[in-house]
Parts: sequence; C-alpha cells; structure tokens
Amino acid sequence: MISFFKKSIVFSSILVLLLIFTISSIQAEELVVGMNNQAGDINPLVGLNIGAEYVDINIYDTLVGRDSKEAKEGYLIEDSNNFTPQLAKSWKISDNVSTYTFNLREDVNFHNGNKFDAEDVKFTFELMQKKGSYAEYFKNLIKEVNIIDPYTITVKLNRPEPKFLKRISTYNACILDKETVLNKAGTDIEEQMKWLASNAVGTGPYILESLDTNSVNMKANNDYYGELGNIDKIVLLTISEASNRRIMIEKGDIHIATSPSQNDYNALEKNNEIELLVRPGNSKVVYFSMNLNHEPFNEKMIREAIAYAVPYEAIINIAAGGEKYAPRAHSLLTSELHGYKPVFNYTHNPEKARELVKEAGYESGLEIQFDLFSAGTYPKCAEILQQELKNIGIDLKIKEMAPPAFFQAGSAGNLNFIINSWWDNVADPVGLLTDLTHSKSIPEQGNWAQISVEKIDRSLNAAQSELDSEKRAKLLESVQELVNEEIGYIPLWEAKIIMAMRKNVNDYVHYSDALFRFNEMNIE
Amino acid sequence: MMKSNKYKYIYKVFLSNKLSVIGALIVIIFLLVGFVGPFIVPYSPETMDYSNVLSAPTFKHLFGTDEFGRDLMSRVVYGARVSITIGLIVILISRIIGIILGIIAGYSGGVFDDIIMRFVDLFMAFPPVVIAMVIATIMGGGVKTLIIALSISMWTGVARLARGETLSIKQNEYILSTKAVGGSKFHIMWHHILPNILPPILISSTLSFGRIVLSTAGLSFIGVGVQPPIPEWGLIISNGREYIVSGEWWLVFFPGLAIMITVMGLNLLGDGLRDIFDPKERKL
Amino acid sequence: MNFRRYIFKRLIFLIFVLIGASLLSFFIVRVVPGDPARMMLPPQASPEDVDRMRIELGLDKPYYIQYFNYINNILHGDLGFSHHTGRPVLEEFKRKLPASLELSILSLLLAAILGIWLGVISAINKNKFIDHFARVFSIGGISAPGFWIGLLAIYFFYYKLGWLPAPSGRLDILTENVNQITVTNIYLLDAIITGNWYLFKNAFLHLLLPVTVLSYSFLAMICRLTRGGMLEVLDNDYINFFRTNGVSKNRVIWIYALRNAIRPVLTMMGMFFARLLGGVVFIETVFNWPGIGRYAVDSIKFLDYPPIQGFIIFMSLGYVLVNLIVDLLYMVLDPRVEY
Repeated sequence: MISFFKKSIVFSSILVLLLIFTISSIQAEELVVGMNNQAGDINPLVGLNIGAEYVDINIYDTLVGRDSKEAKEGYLIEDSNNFTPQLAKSWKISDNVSTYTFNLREDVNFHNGNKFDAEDVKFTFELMQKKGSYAEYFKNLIKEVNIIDPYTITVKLNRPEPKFLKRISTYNACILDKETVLNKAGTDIEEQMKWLASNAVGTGPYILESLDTNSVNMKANNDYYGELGNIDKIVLLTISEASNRRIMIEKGDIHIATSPSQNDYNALEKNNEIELLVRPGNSKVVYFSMNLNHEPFNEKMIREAIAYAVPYEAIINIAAGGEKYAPRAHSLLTSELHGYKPVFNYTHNPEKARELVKEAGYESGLEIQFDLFSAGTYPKCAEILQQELKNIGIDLKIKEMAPPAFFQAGSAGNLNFIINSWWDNVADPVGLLTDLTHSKSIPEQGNWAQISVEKIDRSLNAAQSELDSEKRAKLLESVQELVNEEIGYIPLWEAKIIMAMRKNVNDYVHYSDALFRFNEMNIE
Repeated sequence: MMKSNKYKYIYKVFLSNKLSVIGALIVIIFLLVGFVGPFIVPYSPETMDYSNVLSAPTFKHLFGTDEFGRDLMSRVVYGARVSITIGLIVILISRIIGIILGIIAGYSGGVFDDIIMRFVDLFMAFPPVVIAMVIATIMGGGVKTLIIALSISMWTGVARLARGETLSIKQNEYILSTKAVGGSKFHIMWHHILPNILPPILISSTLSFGRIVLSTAGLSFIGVGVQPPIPEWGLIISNGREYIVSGEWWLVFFPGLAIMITVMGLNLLGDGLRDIFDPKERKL
Repeated sequence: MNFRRYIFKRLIFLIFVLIGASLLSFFIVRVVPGDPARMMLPPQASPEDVDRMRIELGLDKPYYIQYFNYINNILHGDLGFSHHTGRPVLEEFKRKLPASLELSILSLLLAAILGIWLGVISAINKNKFIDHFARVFSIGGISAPGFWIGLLAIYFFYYKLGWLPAPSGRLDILTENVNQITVTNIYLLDAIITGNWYLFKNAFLHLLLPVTVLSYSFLAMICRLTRGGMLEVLDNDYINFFRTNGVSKNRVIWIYALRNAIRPVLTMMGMFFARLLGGVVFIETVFNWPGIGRYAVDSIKFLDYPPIQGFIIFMSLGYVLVNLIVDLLYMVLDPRVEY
C-alpha cells in the first residue's frame, strides 16, 4: 500500500513536470510582435495599416517574391533587381516590357484545401482594379489578364512598366482564393470586401488562427511548399503605448517592438539583449509643406521667413531621436537615390526670419492655421514650430485632424500648412517628384503645396521618358533646384524604419515595404 | 443673535474642524498660485530650451523639464490658472442654467416641474465623459468643447438642488403674504427665493469645483479636452506618459500631485462648509 | 396598482431616453461639417462608394424617412460598419462589452465590499487611528485622478517591482486556448465554468491592477457614505434598545445598524454606475483594455461615426436599465419605500 503521502508526491511532481513541459513547449517557437496599431481591416486590397499588411504578407502569397542581399552596413536588405518565384515558378517579360507571362506552381493548395490555379490569379487581379487603395493605379496600368491554361496566365499592360514585378510582390497583390470568396460572400463586391476585412484564406506560410482588436494569431502552415523557419506561431499584439512596448521587449515578453519612441532609442541600444534596427525608409522624407495658393503663402518672403524660423537640429533631436536616426534632409529625395542633390540648406536664423516678416509687411502680426495630422512625432514638431513662429511674430493656430479628414482635405487641395511625408512604393525618384511638384498632381496626386512651375513640369516629363540614367539624373537635379527656389516644401529629415528586436531573433531581411516575412526568420 | 455674532460663531465652528481648515488653506494656496503664480515664476511655460530637455528636478528647475526643455514647475503653476478659469466659467454657466430651471420647476410645479425634471433625468443619463466625447466629435476638441460639455453635465445637480430649496421656501409665510399683496412671480423668484437658495448652491459649488478639475484633467488626458500648448494638468500628464518608463517620472508625478492636492482641498473645504450650514447632510 | 403604474412610468421614460439618444446619434452625422456619406466610410473609399453610401443613408430623402430607416436598421441589428476595425459595429460591441462589464462589475463589488466594511470599522472606531487612516484614504480616493493612480501603479508594480504582468490587455500572450473556451467572454467566469486554472490565474492577474485602480474612487465614496450613515444610526435610541436587550454587539452593528445606514449608498448606486462608465474609459486607455470605453475613444480619434452612434444609444440604454434595476432592488430591500 503506497502511502497517501508518497502518492501525492508522485502526482504533484508529474503535474509540475507536465506544467514545465507545456509551458516550455508553448514558449519554444513562438514569435511575439508588439505593434502600435491594431490590424483592423486585413483586406489586402485595402492596406489599411501596417499591422494588417504584416498579416497579409504571411497568410497570402504573391506571384513573385522579393530577393535579398547584404547591404554594405552588414545587414540583409532587399535586392530590388531580383525576384524569387512564389506562386509563379517562372515568368517571361516581353521585349516591350508590357506583357508578363507567368507559369504557376501546380502543387499549391489554399489553407482550406482548395486547389490554386490561374482562376485565382485572374480573380485577384480583376478585383485589384475595382477596389482598394491601388485600384485606380492598377486599372490604368493593366489592360487585360488572360488565362492560357490552368497554370499559365498573361498580364497585358497599357504601357511598358519595368517596375511591375515590384508592384505585385507586396501586400496589395496577395492572391485570393476565388472559390472561397465567392462561396462566403457571393458575387457582390461590397460583400466580398466586407468578408475579406476579417477573414483570410491564402496559400502562404502561415494560417490565420484568430483576429482581434488586441491580437492576431497565426500558426505555421506545415504543408507550405516554400521555405519555413523554426517559428511555429506568430502573435501580433496591439500595444498602443510605446512605453509599454519598450517595457515588454525589455522583459522579454515580446520579441519585436515596432515604432519605439525616440526617447527610448538610447536605452534600447544599450540593452545587451536587444538590437535597435535602423533601416532605410524607402525614399521617405518628412517635410513641412505650405499651400502656395493660400494667403500668406503666396508671398515668397513669408515662406522664406518660415524656412529660417525652423530649428532643424532641435526638431530632429527632440521629435525624431537625433541625427543618427533621422538624418537631415536636404531635398525631397533621399540621399541614396540616383539624381539626388542636396539643395535645401536653410539654417535656423530667427533674426533673419523676423526681418523678412517685417519686409513682407506683417510687422503687426500674422495668423496662420496649421492642419495637424496627429500621428507619431508630428504633434511635437508642430508645437516646436508654433513656439518658433511666435518668436518671429507669427501666431500659429494648430488644428488637429483625424487621418480620414486629413487625407480627404489633402486630396481636395484644402490643406494650408502641414507636416507630412511622402514616399513611392517602388522608390522611383521621378515618380516621387512628379507626385509632389508636377502641376498635374494638384491636388489629388499629392502636390498639396500646389507648386506649378512650367520648367519643373517640362523637366519631369522629359525625365519620365528618358532612358539614359545620367541624363535623367541631370534633369532631376534641375527639378530639385527649382523646387528649392519655390520653398513650397521645407524638408526636415529622412525617415528611417526603426524597430527593436531581441537578439535571439535571426535572419530578418529588411524589404522596402518594411514587412516581416516570418517564414524566413528563426528564433535561437 | 446679531449678525456679527453669527459670523463669529460660524468662524469659530469652522476653525474647530481641523480638516476644513486644511482644506481652506489649500484652496487659498491654489487660488494664489493661479492668480499670482504666473507673475513670479522664473520661466515662461512656453519657452523651449532645446539643450535641456527631460532633465530631472534640480535647484534650477524644481520640477524638472519636459520634452521640449520647458520648466515643469512654471507649467504646473500656469495650469492652476487654467483649471481655475475653466472651473469658474463652467460653474457660472451651469449654476445660471440650473438655478433658472430649478426655481421655475420648484415654484411653478405641475407641468413645468415635470418637464424640467424629465430633462434633468435625461441629461443625468449620460456620464460627463460621454457628453464630452459626443461634443468633441461634432466640434472637435478644445477649450470651448470642454466648457460646453462640462456645463451640460453639471447643471442637473444644481437644478435639483435649486428646486428642492425652492419647494421648501415656497411655503414660507413671507412668500405667501407677498403673493397675497400682489407680488409678481418674477419679483418673488428674484427677490425672495433666489437670495435664500444661493448659500447652499455656493457650498455645493465648492465640491463641484473639485469634480470639474478632475473632469477637465481626465478629458484632456484622453485628448478631447484642452489642446496643446495650453499647460493643463491632465494634458501634461498625457504628454508625459510615454516618458514614465524611461525613468522621467516627474512629468507624470507633479501635475497629478497638483490635481490631487487641489481637489482634496476643495473637497475638505466643501465638506466643512456643509457641516456648518447643513449638518443633516453631514457625511464625515 | 401603484407598482404597476410605477413600472409603466419608468418604461415610458426608458423609451423617451432611447428616442432622445437615437435622435442625437442620428443628427450627429448630419450636423458635423462635411459630407455624411463620406464620413461613414474609410479614407480610401472611392467616389462610387460614396454615392452608394449616400443612397444607403437615403440622404436625398426627407429627414423623417432617413430617421425611420435608421431606427429600422437598428432594430434589425444593423448598427453599421466600423471602418477603423473592419467589423460590423454590433459585433464589436458584443466582443468588447464583456471586457468592460468584467471590469465594472468587479470594481463595483470590490468598492462596495471594502468600502462598506471600512466605513463601518471607521465609524465604530471613531477618531482612533483606523478612522483617521480611512478618512485620509477616502479623501485621496475622491481627489486623485484615476488615470494618474493607474500610471503610477503600472510604474511601480510592473516596471519597478515586476510583481504584476504588463498592461497588455486581459490576458498574457498565450491566448491560444481562449477561443475554444469562451462562453460568456468574461474570462473569470469562463475559467470557472471550464475548470481552467491557468486561464483563471492569468485573467485574475491582469484584472488586479485595473480593477483596484478603478474601484478606488468608488471605494472612497462608499466608505464615506457608510461611515456617515453609521455614525447617524449608531446615535439612535433604538440601537441602544437592541443592546440593552442583550443582542450581541456584532449583530447590532453589522445587521441592524448597517441595514439602515446603507440607504444613502444604495441611493447613489445609480449615479455610481454612471460615473463608473465614465471611469472605465480612462482605465481602459491606461491599461490597454479591449473594452467599450477605449473603443469609443478610438472611434472619436479616427472619426469612425457608426460606433459613436451606437455608443450613444447603448450608453443611455444601459444607464436607464441599471437605474431601473437598482430602484427595483431598493423596493425589494426596503418595503417602506412608496411610489
């Protein structure tokens, strides 16, 4: 007869062992990301925010994937010139670069077992032209999509587009399962979009387990045809406070913390277990922009005065974390782009600014409205600007706007004085400058400063069709000089993508869309 | 009893309650800081010192500096003025509305009374936060929104109080005789009822002031109240929130302490006053 | 007879409030500067979307028809689509309400139990140390802003001491089990129902700080009210009557005296609940709690109108219902109350 005492010892030790086992096995290959926004609407065509895009790029596949290479700094970044097969095992580009033929994999299933074939690609590409944030773009670009056979498909474009593969290798071209979408949501596009907002059936390396305000759970697709690292489970947590994200990554509760507060950069760098990643921000520049069609910005002297009033160093130090993380921008292009010229070199000079305000005739005072898109670090920049302008006799009234209202007003050309950033999804300097400074881009395309200079338009048009890269660079340089003379934009800093990652997370590649391909990553 | 003796008596009773005295002292300091403080602080609450951001409390900056290098103590001192101003305006508006409606309801009785009291119930159905958020949606954030929202949520208590007092005074012989002589309703309400209901309303205002300070801070904290760069205590805490983890605790600590002490003083004072003038309502 | 008329009157009032709330939320979207159709949609909506929304809202029709459609939709459970979360509003409410309820009910319970207890102890030990402590403690509770206490609490108990988990919401990262388990979506209850000790412990640790902080101010108020009530009652003659007749001291205090002293607390319960709903907003913001309060704040930040509309209606409904329940309870507990 085993005594009760001994029985309970055995029982409790088994229990403890089980507990340890379950806990440790749960902890083993799970990656937790702390992000500052919830995923929300995960419809890949919508691209609501980066959280949703993290989900899409892992649940779904695209026709082609992006390749990686080692940057000169030693970390892995995107190789923009090469693409890897994903759902398309090979492809051909026509000589005039306007027809792409894809040979699709024949052994792929969606997460629910449905077979993948050309029908799904055609369905996706057609929906892409009808709905979503890139619908206009794709509608203008794509002429027609033809199914040659169940595993061959051609896409004919309306114009030669060498960047096409890059455009369809990220979240907005995720391939959907035609069968499932039609089954679950019918043929009404609105219903389809609604269903896609909170459901995802893809072919990707991860399967969506749950989607919630506070967290998204994904688990590895063990039948995935491609590469899988050792990460079994992904949890994307919504932690809206940067300070909380920092606490949690320091304690090891999360592995990756996105958008750390610049205040934490130093502490995170010093931490032995954490690496602060500073990566190129895809040609993104943060700037102040003034609407040239509104008073008093039609007066160049006022624009110049403001350019002298901005405390460039202080703004970078206080609002962006310092020169190391936010190098001063001297143009609307970033320094690594071909054709970049450092044209904007104003320095903080309040006396000169005051003189200019007087000369312009506003000695008795001037009131200007600032339309603040209150996200991230922008409110701080606005407050600093407000204080500096007060010193030179300008009363800046800050009006906060929520994102939808802000973008609506921008597209309608109604914004007055803003802080914003612009970037081009494929980092094309011509495209970027065209968006920001070509008169045809007023106001919807992005020329919210409403710059309209004939010479700029002509140079940009020429650059668009110029195939020689040196000549193109020269044209871009002259555009930048002209833009600088206008001072519609006041460039502040070049935005970098900064995140904190625990050192035991390996093999992260920084793609230009800044999205994690979790199946490539490993936890030590 | 002669009037002067009555006041002496009240004065003595008040002084004997230690907590009320402390409360009164705090409130006096609060008012002094609010009115006089801005003139004697060493720094402007707006001046940014880029070389001295986020520095801990020292002799140079007793409460430390914020993320723009602004002196926190100066901001907290100016914050007192902000709270006083908003508080006084809200109290004024809510008392005016509440007294008018309350007297009408209490004096007229009948249908008017019912309708007005239904409105009171209706408005009391919404917590101030909800009202503020709704108004913020329509009008955007800011001081105007805040004042309107708080006034809307605070007049109901006053109306109830005014009505109750009116009801009890209404039966007063003095009133009845005035009516008999032919005094108009308005005359009675203005000259006889109003002066008598003012004391309890004044007392309840002291306690309401505390609630207004708290609500202002809270609403500014979540972003539907005062907007930058106005140095309101709740807003300073909200801005300082992201720094508490990197060790810059003073941005959250001092403004919150200011709120707590101020509201405590107002509550103690209000309690003390109520104990004197209306002992049956005594809660402490 | 009186009772029935009373209930009838209250129900009429309820409907009155609902109509008022629905009118308010109906007009909000139309009063704000801007295109109502555009505002109900996410920022990337196309012109065709706007046109369709305009038809859906019936903006071309007279107001009373629009209002009727709006009410009709609500009664059929369609509260619109919340574009910042990508889900229908009703579904979001269903998901988030249990979280807020869990917080509110537990806070109120804690506040009531501790508050009453402290109030009684304080009253019977008047002017001794425990009384002074309780009074200072209570004054602090009604004077200190909840969000401030919450921030300081997180700083000490999570960051400095590490005793409590991160303010990451209702549970730790290991949420895999939750989806299969939830019955009521109130995790503590679900854990008990399914016998899941791990879930219980986890949910409990995460609830500890927010509930404590949220309950603090109500605890203070209840303590003060109870103390005041007890002091008055204990003075009364009939208390002495009980004592001289040999009823034990404890029985006298905790049963007979308390029953009468509690009345002011019960009267205030309705108001407490209203204040609680307000307090929930701050606590949820500070602790990242996925409840209704934070949803409302986020909706305002993103100008996501459908949830704001739903929130207005919902809050008023909730408040009136709770008040009705409290009053009914009151009637049950105290037969002397008349209507």
